[in-house]
Amino acid sequence: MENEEEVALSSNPNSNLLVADPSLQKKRQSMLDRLSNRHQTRLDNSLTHRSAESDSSSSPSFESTSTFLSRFSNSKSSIESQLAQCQLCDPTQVKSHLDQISSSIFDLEKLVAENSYFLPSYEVRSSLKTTSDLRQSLEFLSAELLPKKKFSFRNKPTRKDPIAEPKGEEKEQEPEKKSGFRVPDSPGFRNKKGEILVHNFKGSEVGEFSISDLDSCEVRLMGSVRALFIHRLRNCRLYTGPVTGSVLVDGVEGCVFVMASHQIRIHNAKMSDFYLRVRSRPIIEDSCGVRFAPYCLTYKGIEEELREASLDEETEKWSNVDDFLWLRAVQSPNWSVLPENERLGLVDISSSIESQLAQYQLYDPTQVKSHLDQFSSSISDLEKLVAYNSYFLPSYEVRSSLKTMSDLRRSLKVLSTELLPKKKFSFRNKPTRKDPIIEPKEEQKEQEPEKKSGFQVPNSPCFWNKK
Amino acid sequence: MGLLSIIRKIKRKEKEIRILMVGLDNSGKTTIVLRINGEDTSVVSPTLGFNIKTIIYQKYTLNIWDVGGQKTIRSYWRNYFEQTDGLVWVVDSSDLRRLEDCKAELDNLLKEERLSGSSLLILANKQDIKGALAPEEIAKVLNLEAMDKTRHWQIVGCSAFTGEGLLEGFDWLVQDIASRIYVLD
Repeated sequence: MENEEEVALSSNPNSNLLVADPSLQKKRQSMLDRLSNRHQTRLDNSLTHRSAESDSSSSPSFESTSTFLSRFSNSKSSIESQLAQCQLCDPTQVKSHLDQISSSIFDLEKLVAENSYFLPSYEVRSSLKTTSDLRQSLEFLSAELLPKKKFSFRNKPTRKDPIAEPKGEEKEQEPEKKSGFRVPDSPGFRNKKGEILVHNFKGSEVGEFSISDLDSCEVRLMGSVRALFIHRLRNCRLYTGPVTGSVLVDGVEGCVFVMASHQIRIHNAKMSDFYLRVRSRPIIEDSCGVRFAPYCLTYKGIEEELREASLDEETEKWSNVDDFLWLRAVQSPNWSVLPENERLGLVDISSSIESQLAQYQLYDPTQVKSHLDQFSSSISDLEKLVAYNSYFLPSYEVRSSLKTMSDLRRSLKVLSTELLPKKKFSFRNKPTRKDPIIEPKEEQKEQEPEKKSGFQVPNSPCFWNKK
Repeated sequence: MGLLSIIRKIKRKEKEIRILMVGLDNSGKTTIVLRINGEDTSVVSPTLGFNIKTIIYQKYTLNIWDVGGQKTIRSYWRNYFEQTDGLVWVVDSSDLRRLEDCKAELDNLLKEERLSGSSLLILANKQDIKGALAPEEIAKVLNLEAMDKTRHWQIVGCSAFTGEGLLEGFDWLVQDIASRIYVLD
């Protein structure tokens, strides 16, 4: 402001004349001083006014974008420096320090809110983004610096139990109390890299399925499932049959999804393509660079499954996307319709295990080993499926499926002797000896987590113990 | 006679109850409201904004405000707090990963002074999905026991898909509110 006035004065045609006269120059200097003083006091006043009456609705607004922006960036940088300092300060004072920062962020938010009525919408959005970023870094910092209070129920149950229950039972319950309440893991695929993960829900009673922390994987889900949770995927391809409830996607990047569902919510997605059939409008939130196209999946029996899930008709809803960060009539910049010439063709994942088997002969020899291992684990998955369902299957079915599986195992063996070169002159033949010892151990391990978490679904359809 | 007292009088006569439905996105709020109103639940889009439904239940008129739960619009929840008699917090019992988020949002909500007098019904929804946590487990995760002693609350397992548990939950809520507000009847 000071500078502006100076410029304004000097650009005045008369000012050149005035400057020449020393007495006038003196006067001019004093006026400039006065002006800058007044500006300073006004600024101070408004600051004290703000802090004193931060609650009153009459707090000042400056009605000038540039003033607002300079004020905003000042506060922002001061908060940032406070945040940086916080890491160095005495651990006992961290708490109060953080509280203080939190309140200054709150002030900043208020500043934005008070001035939002005259600011251009871009400025509002960007300042809101800045404040939320600040909040987030504050949260990170406090999570880092302040020890988390572990969640527990020590008090209530111990106080109540002695009265209500005999002592013997109380002792039995003690170990559970110590471990606190642990939320069990739901069935699903987790923490994999560079694998093909296949699961068929058909015949099993799976309610919800989680897919999380995968990198460069391909996931094929067949059969229908009630709910699907997808979290943190990178460079993955995911194909699913019908989901009769909802799909929740959170934090994905560089992925391709082919999904059919009643509801789809997409959060924090970047540069990903979605091929959807959905009964209601899909939504995106905090996402960018996402593209949409119609569903394009097939496998044996998919039509019937889609019909049962009432997902057999194309609703065209895939192109009716709601962006919760773009609540206006014009098209959101965060999503687009995938151009037809860039879309995938019909994807066929009817990878009955036989067809996978056939494919593997075409694979890169260096990867054959891992593929064969994966295949072996799908066979054991199949064996599990038979085992779990054997109690109600007619004995003929059980026998024939067991036969099929032993056939599959045999052809796998044949294939692996064919594809994998036999190692001659190696001292690593021990594994064959070890195998029987290792296996029982692994089985034990498998059961342990189930015991600990009391709520684990007994036959959760995961892939365990891959080799 | 002021306008406010006229409104109060009308409200008393019609026995109106204002109920606010909130919870994380994907918890099933809209489906629950449609289900108790006997409407079709097969096509439900994620709520952008809010829905209001007026339902006559016993001798009471329930005004149910169903507010969208997406993260970006949760900040607008507070616009609906005024005059709320009953609060319904809906939990997706099958979304195990976000239960911590759910707890944090609920804790935030209960700090709100304008809601301090309202009864709280927690619906542990999606009980029909295999793998969903039971209401008792949800109560533990949300640490409901530690809530302010003055709060009237109840947790009920339900399924908007089958309709199970919904009536039980809303029945408790309405009775609890009615016994507070319409104590003279």
